[in-house]
Amino acid sequence: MRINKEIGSCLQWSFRFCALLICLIGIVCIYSWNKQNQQIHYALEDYIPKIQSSTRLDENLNILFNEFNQFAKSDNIQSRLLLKERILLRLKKLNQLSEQLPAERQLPFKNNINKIEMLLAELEDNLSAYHIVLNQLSETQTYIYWLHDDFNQEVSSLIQDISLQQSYLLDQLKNNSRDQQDVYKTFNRIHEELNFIANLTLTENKVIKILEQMTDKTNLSNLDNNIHYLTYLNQSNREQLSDLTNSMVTLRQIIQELFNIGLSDHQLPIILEQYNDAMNNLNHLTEKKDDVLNTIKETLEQQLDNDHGQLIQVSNKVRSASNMSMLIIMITIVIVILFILILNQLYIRPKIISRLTILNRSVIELSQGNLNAKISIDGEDELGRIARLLRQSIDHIKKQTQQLEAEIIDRILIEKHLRETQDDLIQEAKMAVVGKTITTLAHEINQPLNALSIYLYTAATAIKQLNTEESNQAIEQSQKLLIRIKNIITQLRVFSKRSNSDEPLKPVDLVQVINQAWGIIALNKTTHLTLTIPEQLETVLGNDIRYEQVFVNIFTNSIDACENKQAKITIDKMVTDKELFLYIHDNGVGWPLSEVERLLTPFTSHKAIGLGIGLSLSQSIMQQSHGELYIASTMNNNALIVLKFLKYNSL
Amino acid sequence: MKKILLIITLLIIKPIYADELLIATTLSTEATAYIIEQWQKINPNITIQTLNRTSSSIERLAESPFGDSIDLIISSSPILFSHLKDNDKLSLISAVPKESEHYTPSILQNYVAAFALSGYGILSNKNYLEQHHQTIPKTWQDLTRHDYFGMISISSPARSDTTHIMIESILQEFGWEKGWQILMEIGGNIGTISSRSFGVVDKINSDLSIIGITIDSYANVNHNDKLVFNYFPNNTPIPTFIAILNQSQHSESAQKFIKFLLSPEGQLIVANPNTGKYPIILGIKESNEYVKYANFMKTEHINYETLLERQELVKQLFDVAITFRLEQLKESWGLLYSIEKKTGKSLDNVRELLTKMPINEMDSLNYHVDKQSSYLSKNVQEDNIKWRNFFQNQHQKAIELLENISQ
Repeated sequence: MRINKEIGSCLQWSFRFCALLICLIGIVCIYSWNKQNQQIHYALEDYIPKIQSSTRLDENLNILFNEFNQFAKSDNIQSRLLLKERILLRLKKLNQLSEQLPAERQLPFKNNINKIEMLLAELEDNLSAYHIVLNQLSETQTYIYWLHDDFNQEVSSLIQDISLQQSYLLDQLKNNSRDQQDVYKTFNRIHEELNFIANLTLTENKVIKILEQMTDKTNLSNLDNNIHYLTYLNQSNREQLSDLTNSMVTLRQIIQELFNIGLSDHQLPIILEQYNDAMNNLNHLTEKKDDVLNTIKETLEQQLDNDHGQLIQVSNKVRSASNMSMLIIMITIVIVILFILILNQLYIRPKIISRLTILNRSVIELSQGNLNAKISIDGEDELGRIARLLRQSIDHIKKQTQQLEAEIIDRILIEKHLRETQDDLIQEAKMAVVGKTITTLAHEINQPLNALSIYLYTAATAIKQLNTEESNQAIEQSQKLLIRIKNIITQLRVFSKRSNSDEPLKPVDLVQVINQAWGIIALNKTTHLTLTIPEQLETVLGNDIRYEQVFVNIFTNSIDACENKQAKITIDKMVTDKELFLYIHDNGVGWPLSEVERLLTPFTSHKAIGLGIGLSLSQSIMQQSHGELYIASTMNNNALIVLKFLKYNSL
Repeated sequence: MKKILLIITLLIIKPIYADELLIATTLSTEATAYIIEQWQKINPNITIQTLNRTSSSIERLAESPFGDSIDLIISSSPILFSHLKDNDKLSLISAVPKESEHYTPSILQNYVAAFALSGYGILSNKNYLEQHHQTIPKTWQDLTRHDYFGMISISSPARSDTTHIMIESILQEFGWEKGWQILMEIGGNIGTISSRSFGVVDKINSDLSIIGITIDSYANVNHNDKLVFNYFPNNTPIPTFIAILNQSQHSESAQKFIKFLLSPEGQLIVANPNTGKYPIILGIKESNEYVKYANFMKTEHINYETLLERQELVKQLFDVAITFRLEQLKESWGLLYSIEKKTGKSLDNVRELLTKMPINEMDSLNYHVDKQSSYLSKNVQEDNIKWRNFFQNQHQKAIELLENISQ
């Protein structure tokens, strides 16, 4: 099982496993969504439109129901026409709506709508027939009303007349203008007339009541009874009123006319019969219409139930599918979480993280220079290999370090040696100068010595002559000469004193150093020399003897460069925060450009005498004192040496 | 005791000093009150009592024993007078002026004197019509406009003789066919039909109706600010007649009263606005009002022969065609108006169906009425049914036609 040993492949396999599980979840989700989508699709594309059109059909059917009922009950043509128009529109709408139904449902629906249309036509015919009868009935009722009105007016005017006649008769009685017997007879007649009127009014009221009952649309059941009663009344009326006075004719005629209306074949009876027929027909049709409409509603409801059932079926399927999906997803998630936990606990933490931490700690130690840091090696995987390689690298580095250390020690030794050599060389160069000076020195010392002997002779002579003044003078002069000799020797001794490059740096007064150097130079030069220096110079760091050497070298070079003329050396200064620059230039021939490169190389000189190490030595002295020496030219091609010093106070 | 004595004295004295005239009239009490009042001022000795009755009642009273006490009859109904004359109940009137004769039917000449004139027209509720942005109708044709649907009120000619005269005058003015056409179209707008002519004015006064067809005397007497009365153009005047019953026991006083009425001073009293009538003698009144209405007075009076000839026919035909069918008329005309409004055109063929009459002018003039043996004479009764069926058929045809048009 090599696979298990590699971290990379191990992680890869874990990721693959997880990816597989995620894919599984994805597939289950897609499956479940698909199912839901199917349901939604079914609901949106199939069920809801069906339900919608069904409900709209239902609504319209309900409205149709109402309109039909109103139509069947309409008692005026205008509302009947209006309702008919509305019903036709409604049917048209229903037809349109039914076209949205699936094809197999359209046919029974359309058949029923056709039935309704036929019923509507039938109903309309019946309604107009019913209406005609209704019109006749209302006409008759109006006629009866007018007859009744006429009768009442007639009665009231008759009663007025009778009362008038009575008062007239009473007048006649009072006036005795007529035979009393005659008057009483007339009274009797009037009395009879009043009785008749009362009887007639009673009969008329009865007839009117019966006729009212007969024409009462809400109560037509006892038509036969009414006719029967009316016939009876008519007969008794005829018997009762067979003999009538002239004034009663109109009343009787009106009553007769009323009887006529109620009994004559072509008046009320036939109208009421027609009315009954029309009503029966209408009721029959209304029932038929209700049946058809109910059938439609039932069909519609059945369809709705079917659709609903189908939806529930689909819904159940989707629910079980999504439950299943949910279960799978949950299990998968649990597996993934468990797997990740186990992987973490059993593999990543012990096998990777802890080892990485150890390795990391070792690397940190290494980076801090501890090459002896412990690097543990375990396992055959990438980390083990890295650790092993690291340990190998460290071993390698250790070896190299040892070599380097040896080399460094060598180098240090060499450097020390070199420095000693350099010091020797400087001494050498000094001695060369001393050597050069020695003849001059002999002459310098010889001269005072000659003078000294003369003074000493003078002094001896003077003592002999007891001339104290002269002797004192001579001794004094001698003392002076002795001091002078002493000074020359001291100077030479100081110069030739060997300086050590290992000495620590100390503050140096450059003016003193320059003057001392100049003093040495001026000692062996016969020609006239000029040196211009700044009045004040900052104290710098270094070694006065070694600096003196530098100036001596520079001045010597300058004087050498002015072989045939008076040498003029000028020193300028420039001060910065930490450093002091001195620009030393002369009026000599300067240096050829081709030699500039070589000037600082030891043993290079274009002078007849000299080792050619002057400038290079000076440079190394300056560098040892953390300064520098640069060579340049002035605008007049004269030599220019730039010295850089560290200021004392800059430390 | 003193009181009884006084009454007895009065009762005895009365026949000696005072003459009492009893006038039976079809006019309302108010119409005669002013004239009688004025007469009383001039002739305090001859007191006048009125008996306000329908024409049939007056006719009946004249036949009764009480008829003896009636002296004078005042009525606008030539029918009543012609019946009375036929029954030999009228006595001759002497010295009737020409102006009066002019307005008297030829068959009643010398038996009857016309002493006052009435016009007739349209009484409208001005306020209501203005509020509803409708013009005030002025002519018979105006009344046919469907704006007035259900607003018009009229009385039945069978029950009001003045209405009968008005109807007959349309038929004479426009001719039988055109006249009935107008009447039938107005019939479509009629809201109510009252049984007495003053019932129309009552209905308008009490806001039960907006427009009424009535004679001016009622309209003028019942003056009201919100109402306006317009005479029909070419108004044939309706004369008011007076006659003396031949049983009258005060015929002298009666003659005196008639003479007074026809005298210039009597005519001046007649001309007073309180009577609601116009005098018969032109130029008797100088007032503005008189000049305003003088024009219609000049027109020819109605042809009484024709009126009397076909009175029964016209009355019955009006009742069958309009009075009893009011609901049907409202229905069919309402439908017609609504469809005409919808389609924007006049449905002349339907209008023709709805205004057609079962009898033409020629037949109407030759229409024979049997002697009345029942409430309606026999042939009228039979014709009644025929006419009813005729109108029913026309109505049905019109409705069918309208239904077809509306679809």
